[in-house]
Amino acid sequence: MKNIFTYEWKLFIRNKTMPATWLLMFGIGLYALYYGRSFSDTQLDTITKIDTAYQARIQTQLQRFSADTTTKEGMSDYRNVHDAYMNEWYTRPMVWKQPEGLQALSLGQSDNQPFYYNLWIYNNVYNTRQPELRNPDKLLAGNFDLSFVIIYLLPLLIIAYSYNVVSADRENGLAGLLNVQGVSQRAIVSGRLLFRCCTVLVLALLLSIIGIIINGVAMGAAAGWLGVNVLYILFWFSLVYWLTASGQSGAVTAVKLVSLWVVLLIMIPSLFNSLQKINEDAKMEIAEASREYGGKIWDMDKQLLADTFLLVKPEWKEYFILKNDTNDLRSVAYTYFTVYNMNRVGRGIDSAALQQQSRLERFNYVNPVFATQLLYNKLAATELNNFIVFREAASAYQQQRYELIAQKELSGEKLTPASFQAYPKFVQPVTGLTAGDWFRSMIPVMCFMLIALLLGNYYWKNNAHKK
Amino acid sequence: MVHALEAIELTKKYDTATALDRLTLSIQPGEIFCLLGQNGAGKTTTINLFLGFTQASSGKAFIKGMEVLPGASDTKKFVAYIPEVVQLYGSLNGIENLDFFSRLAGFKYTDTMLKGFLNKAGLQEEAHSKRLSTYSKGMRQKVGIAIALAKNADVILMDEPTSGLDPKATAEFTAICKELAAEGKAIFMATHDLFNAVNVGTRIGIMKQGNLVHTLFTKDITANELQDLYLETI
Repeated sequence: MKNIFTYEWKLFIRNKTMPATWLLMFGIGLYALYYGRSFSDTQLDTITKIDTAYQARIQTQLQRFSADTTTKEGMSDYRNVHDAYMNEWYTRPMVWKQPEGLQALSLGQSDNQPFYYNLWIYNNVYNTRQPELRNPDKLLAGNFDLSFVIIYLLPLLIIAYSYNVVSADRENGLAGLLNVQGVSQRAIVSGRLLFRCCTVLVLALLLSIIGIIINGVAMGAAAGWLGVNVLYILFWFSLVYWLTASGQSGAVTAVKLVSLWVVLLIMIPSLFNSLQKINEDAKMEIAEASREYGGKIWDMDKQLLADTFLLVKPEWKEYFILKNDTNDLRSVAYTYFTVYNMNRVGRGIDSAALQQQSRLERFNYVNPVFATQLLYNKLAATELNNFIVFREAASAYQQQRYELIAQKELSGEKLTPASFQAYPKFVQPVTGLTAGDWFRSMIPVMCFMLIALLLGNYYWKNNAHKK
Repeated sequence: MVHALEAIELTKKYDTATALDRLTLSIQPGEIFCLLGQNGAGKTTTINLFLGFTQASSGKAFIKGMEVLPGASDTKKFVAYIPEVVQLYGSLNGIENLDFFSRLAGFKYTDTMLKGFLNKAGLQEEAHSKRLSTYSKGMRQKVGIAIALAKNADVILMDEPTSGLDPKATAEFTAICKELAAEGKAIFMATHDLFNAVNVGTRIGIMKQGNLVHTLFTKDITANELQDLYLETI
């Protein structure tokens, strides 16, 4: 094996095309890292701007607690800031999904899903305008991040390096001389494939380590990412081992490998997409839900509204003093019913999306390539699940603030600087993967790899004399 | 006595065509057996069967008393092979090619020893460090001989080794073969070169359509007589 590695290295270096292709792919990988980093930096800049503006609004509100009440404007500020509902109106709290370090390596749904929400009292996270697509072609080709380079492009490099690992000797008239040296052809081919596998692994791991360092990725996630790299590349080499074992010509093997690439990376995902039923009316349903209660509530008799509200929120009876003007009750009730209704519809839509995601995960048991892509996204917390979990956390946080404000509003309690500053803070949902999750996600890759190796062994055993 | 090479009723059929028909033959150490015949007579098939590259339809082949089985993993260590056209790695030089094939065969030689094999095969010293892509056919053939020498095999199978070589290279090649035979190596050579067969061989066989029609000792025949016999036979 050492001899084969020594001479494979010499042949690799002296064949100008191979190192040039390696360097080209390395350059492409560096660009993908730059692309991912640039996307993440844009998000981080946006988050910084949002945070700065939000903190400024909080400071403004805090200053209004000591506004000059001798002026008309100061009096208005003073009155509004002590009113929990109006204070929330002006504070307009913001929450955002803090990007993980690995996001820059696997953008996943980061450009399709909102990563921050304005939790203004009448806003609803399920009715938030999604960010504009930076490039519609992305929908077809995916983001040009490192996961794209590894998932889509490295298999092409593997095919280019290895399609003729068996046939080249025969086609170059070397097979006879090699076969008579006493080492089995299978041992020579396995050694060569292992060497070529190492060159691709070095490429993938080097790029990943650069990405991990410049993006400050945590150790656990980094180890998970590197492990996926290794298994995915081994999976492709196991396919090469299988398809080259039949001893057919290099051209035939290349066609077979490229066909497999097309099936795994284009046909099967396309088939899955075509089987999906997309709810095109989802946005409309949320808009309708937001309008459903509006007019009814504002026109409803005060006592009837109170009774109706207490039917769904009886635990708030103790706050129900009704000493304030009717607008307090109407505002609270309107917000409660519309937000509740939109949340109900929105959660239903997200639930359907999660079911679709669950189907996709099951479907990927027959497609190890996209099982790998899914795991990359999970490690980078850029999978659809991550955004839905964030959306639910944002919604729950908005609800938590709303209930606090509504209680103060209904009980007539004035807001103070201390109680304002004691408002609950948004907690980023934890979406880390366990080692068990990682292993389960890699089962399709490992199973297919094992099958390919067994088939390869079978063909080697049965076709040895044909090579 | 253990024969260096032995075939007993060795037959190879491809569908309905018989490439080799019940060949029975034995070759002793120190013998150079030259097999003559037209294209398609079964010379290369015979060599491939001894090398284990193809499976016999019936009969048996032996090398140093060991049966050649498919894959021939046990008998390969006794055999060296020089094909008609020696193709090697173009981006490696002569020494590197020789080192690579020797290591595959389980031998690790120093540079000096490798150069010694190349010199013995007749490759000029200044060519040793040049890439194979710059070599002529004759030079590549010499590296092929060096690979066989480095393997130190008891049996050397050659498939038209002088085809395309100039007279000087052929003469050098003949000298090496005789030297190897003198060391006790058995050489089995398929060739079209009647005159060289008489010159280098100790025994000659003439094949026609898969059958070994004649075997004779070179000491009993001249080149012209062999030519007449050959033309009569085919």
